[in-house]
Amino acid sequence: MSENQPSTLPHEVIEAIEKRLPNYPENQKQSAVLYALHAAQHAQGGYLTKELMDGVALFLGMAPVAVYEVASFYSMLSTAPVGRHSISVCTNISCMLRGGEALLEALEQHLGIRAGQSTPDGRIYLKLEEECLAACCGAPMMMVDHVYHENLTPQQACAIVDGLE
Amino acid sequence: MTDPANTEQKPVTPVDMITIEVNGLPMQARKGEMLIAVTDAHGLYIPRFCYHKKLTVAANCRMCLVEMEKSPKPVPACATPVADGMKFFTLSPKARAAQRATMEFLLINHPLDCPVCDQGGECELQDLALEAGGDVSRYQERKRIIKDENLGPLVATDMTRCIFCTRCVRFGAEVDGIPELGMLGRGEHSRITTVGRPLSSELSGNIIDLCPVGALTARPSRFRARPWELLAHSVVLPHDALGSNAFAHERRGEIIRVVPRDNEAVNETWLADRDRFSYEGMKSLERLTAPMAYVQGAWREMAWADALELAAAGLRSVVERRGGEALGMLASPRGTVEELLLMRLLADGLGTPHIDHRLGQQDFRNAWANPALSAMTSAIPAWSAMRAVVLAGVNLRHEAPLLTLRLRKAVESGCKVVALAHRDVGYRFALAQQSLGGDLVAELAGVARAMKGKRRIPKHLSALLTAGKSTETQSMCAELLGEKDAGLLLGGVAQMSPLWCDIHALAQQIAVWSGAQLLCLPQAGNSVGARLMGVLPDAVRGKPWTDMDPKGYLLLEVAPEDTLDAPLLQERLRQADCVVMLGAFRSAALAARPAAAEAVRVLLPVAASLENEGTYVNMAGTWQATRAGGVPPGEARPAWKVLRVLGNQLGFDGFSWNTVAELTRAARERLETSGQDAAAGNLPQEPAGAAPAKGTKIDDGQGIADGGLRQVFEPAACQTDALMRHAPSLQATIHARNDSVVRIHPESARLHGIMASAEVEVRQGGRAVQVWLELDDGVAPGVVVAAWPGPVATALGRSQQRIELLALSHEALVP
Ligand code: SF4
Ligand code: FES
Ligand code: FES
Repeated sequence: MSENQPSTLPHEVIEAIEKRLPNYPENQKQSAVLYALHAAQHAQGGYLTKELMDGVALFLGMAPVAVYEVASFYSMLSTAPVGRHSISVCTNISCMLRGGEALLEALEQHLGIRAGQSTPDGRIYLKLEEECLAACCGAPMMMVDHVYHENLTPQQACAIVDGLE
Repeated sequence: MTDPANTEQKPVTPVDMITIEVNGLPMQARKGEMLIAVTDAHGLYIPRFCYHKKLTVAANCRMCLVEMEKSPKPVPACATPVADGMKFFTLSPKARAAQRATMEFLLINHPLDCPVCDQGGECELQDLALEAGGDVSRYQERKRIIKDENLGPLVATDMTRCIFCTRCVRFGAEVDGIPELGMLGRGEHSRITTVGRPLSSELSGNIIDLCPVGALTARPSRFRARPWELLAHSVVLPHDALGSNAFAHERRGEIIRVVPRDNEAVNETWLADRDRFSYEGMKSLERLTAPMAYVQGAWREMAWADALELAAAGLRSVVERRGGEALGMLASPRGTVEELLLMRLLADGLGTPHIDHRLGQQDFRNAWANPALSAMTSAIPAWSAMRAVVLAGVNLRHEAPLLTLRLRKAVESGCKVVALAHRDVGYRFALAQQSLGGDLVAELAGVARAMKGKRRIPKHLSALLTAGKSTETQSMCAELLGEKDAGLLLGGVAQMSPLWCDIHALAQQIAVWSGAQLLCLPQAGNSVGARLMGVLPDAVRGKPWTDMDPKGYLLLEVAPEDTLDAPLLQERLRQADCVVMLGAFRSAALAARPAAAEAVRVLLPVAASLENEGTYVNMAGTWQATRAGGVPPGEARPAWKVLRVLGNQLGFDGFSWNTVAELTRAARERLETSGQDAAAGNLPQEPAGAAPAKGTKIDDGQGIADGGLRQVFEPAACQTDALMRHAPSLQATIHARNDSVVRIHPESARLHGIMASAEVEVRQGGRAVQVWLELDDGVAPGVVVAAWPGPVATALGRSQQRIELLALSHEALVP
């Protein structure tokens, strides 16, 4: 029963993780998993393959399934190819009360995709069920590639998305 | 987080004890204990899903919310440590409201498909929904569904029913040490999954019991019966030396399934898969259902009376013509104490000195090197408190899967484990060191040498303990074994070796010098009982099973493949004038035509282990009674009855027991009168310095110095006994597949011209077998590992013999 396949991580990812490892106690390498997945995702061009996740697991001495758990939990990590621009529409409580769900629905209609999908041209990725993004006072809101847009109407939201190349 | 391992063992000092009040009743508790553990101990039930006494606290289901005095919010009982004077209310309106609200949430996405769910009737969710669920659902949206996965032949999934308690996930991560299931996704999109792999743990069945709903159910027994139709019988499973406790669930004489029965001293709350699913073998079409005899050139079914008469006449005629010495008796070490006692008494009556149960051993130079002798000293739970353990010649995952859990616990609290092994078997705890040499005599000699210091070498070891340097691993073992609570465990690989007596003598010296405990893991569920009943050859005139060559055989559930030299026994059976065999299964070898046309062959159908009543003695020396869980098929009868009547037929005195209980008493009395304490198994002391008799076989195991290959048998995962071998679901697992292949290190394979895993022929003397050879870099150099019992072991026989490999196809020759 040999489970020692060689690591499938690209060289630069290994380097990036190794640089970070001293931040954590020696026997708790797995603390670096979020960072490692970020680095791996970045190197791959936006999403994590199974090989990359297995590579991270092997490198940090974790069970593969534990790495999949982390990768599938956090919305900033993707386990499938996604569009260039990522759009997160908040549907948590404050935004919901102020029309966040209508906002999401308008965008879905406008782009012709459901939340969790990307447009076929690879331009837009509409994230699945985004939780509170801590901009409740500007609800409803959405985040486009790390930029917050607040107090939105559906029309404004669609216009913003149309402006992305 | 509470660690279940530690809470068990901590001594309760009065200082720790406090008093709390629950529903107005005072309850004694240990300070800091979780409320739910306190109420459980006092017999008060608090609803729960995620809490389990053997797992860490996750507190994610919120079903256990109760009211606490001075707390504005309800608190989870599973995650609330108690302190003196605290007051709780588990049935107050506030507690009830919280539980009802939780239940409403839990049911939002649940399919409510109890009528078609196998868990129905024993489902924690169903029970609690009755108590705390609403009559009408306010939820109108669509429910989420989850696609099922194939987790293999043992566990069926209906993941849409999952309530995400994560018990199954925690079992893998915390108890088993192999996290196979995980919770992927988040919120409503969460799902429990192995990400497309079938389960590979040999303890996977436990998640079926842990799952509080019908998400994980037993595939072999699914939809076969409703729980309220089942009768539970307390049984003991003789598949390994622990003798796990279980309930056999029976309906109208048929065992529908087997589930664990809690026993902290043996199996805690767990069962190995092979213990749980072997019962399927009872329904095999290969069962013997009527007495059969080979008369005048043909096999015929016959009535019990005729068959017994024929058997008695056959045995009597051998004795009359050639004396008792011409008779040999072999008994399965999985028979009950009562059956083994009867075998002993029959041997006395027939006057044969040749009787044996050590079928997985071939080196009998020293009768004291009997694994069952060193057992009984070792309480099973003590293995989780060990500080240092050396595993020598053992595959613990196959030999005693639940013992690996104990060791894993020990390792978690700092125990160091070193393996001296023939291959890396993939323990799910970290080994401090592993040496894959494969030559146990050399390894143990190295260990002994490293700890010898100025001590004198006893005479009987002078040939084994020659001068030399110890390796780093051997020195480490020597040092570790000197610690307090250290143990040296010798397993089946060692016991099957042609040099077993040397291995044993060295191990004993190591134990003497270091003060470490020596445990030779008994090979079967009642090896210890067989020894206690004296199912061993007479010290002076008797011959071990390998050397006896009798004219007549009486066999108790022994087929050639159950021994270490199947071809040998098969041939001897063929030659014998008379063979009387009590068995639960047909065996190809037994059905073979005898050499002489006038020879007598009688097959007497008996109950399989789960249909049988009696006693097994486990590795700790505990006498465990097992009840009949089902009814034997057709004409089959419990073996003790058959043996008793055979005694009557032969006209022996005293064969008049009418119940198993009478026989159990007779067995205990026999031990008492022979000066042994039946309960503790107080054994006669071994004479000091019992030496392996000189000479024989010394180089059989070492044919590798010149680059040759030898095979090494290791105990199989799923072929241990006939019942298991006939259990279809178990035989469909990856473990059963692994039993049927042989393994070699790629480097060793290359030296013999084999570049890739492929079909090969293994040749050993005049014997040969074709088999799939797997390249595995966890195997010691120069050896080919095969499972015993298993197809290769059956064809070749004897562990650790020289072999040759022959590639059968072009595939093997290209990398
Ligand atoms: S499958 Fe069963 S045990 Fe596992 S999380 Fe779901 S409900 Fe709990
Ligand atoms: S709820 Fe939308 S930002 Fe907080
Ligand atoms: S049992 Fe307490 S939260 Fe689940």
